[in-house]
Amino acid sequence: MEERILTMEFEAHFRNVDIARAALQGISAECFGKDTERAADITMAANEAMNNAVEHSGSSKVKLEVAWDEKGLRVFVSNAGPPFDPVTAAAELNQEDMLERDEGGYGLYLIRELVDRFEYEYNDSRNIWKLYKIA
Amino acid sequence: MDVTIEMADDVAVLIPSGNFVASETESFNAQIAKLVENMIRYMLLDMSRINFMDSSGLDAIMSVNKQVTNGGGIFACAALHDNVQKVFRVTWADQKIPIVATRSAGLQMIQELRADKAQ
Repeated sequence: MEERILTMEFEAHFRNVDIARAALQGISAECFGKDTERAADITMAANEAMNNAVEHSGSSKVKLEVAWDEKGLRVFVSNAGPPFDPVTAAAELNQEDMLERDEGGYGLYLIRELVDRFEYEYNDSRNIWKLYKIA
Repeated sequence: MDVTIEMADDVAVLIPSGNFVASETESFNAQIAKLVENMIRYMLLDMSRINFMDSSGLDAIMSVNKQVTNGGGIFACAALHDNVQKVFRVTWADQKIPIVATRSAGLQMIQELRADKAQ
């Protein structure tokens, strides 16, 4: 299967995250099978990355790039906010932190736990969150 | 997100439907605030109609749990779909909120916890 790519850029509103998530649900179902755990995992992780961009980045727009083939699926979520490294922040969270939390901070932990690889790049004044799920 | 509220004696059974996500938590929180204002101390969240929940939905649930338990009440969740249950499990939230398989089991558990508290 040749690599296929979907790109969308949207204004930073949660309602737009809902639409982007629906597209991603379709793609992840095609890549991993409908109602599979792997499809649900990458959809959830990407949803959290988009939510974070909307809520915390200060950027007026969020960009989603999805690429998939028989080897798996990768999702890049980028914004033009100030630099923020989510991979380092997520790596600092542990089970004790999560057990002590009442509210907040679950998103980064979910991404870390649900993807096979989580990378970050700051390039051309953009934060790029890179999420990978292997088929 | 629609939230149906049914009373089972003095336990409020909340039945949200759809996706429990960032774009929907505001309306959920508003309905919960009314219940708390009305001194409802026992709440069961029936999640059987929730197909997808993100960390914002989980935040909203943790907030309800805090409000209810801080007021001396009891809060529990029931009937979680597998993907929703996974969010609770991965974040360890299932160690902080009672989760049961069915609505009837949830109502029974709340009554048992009340009896334990009364002793």
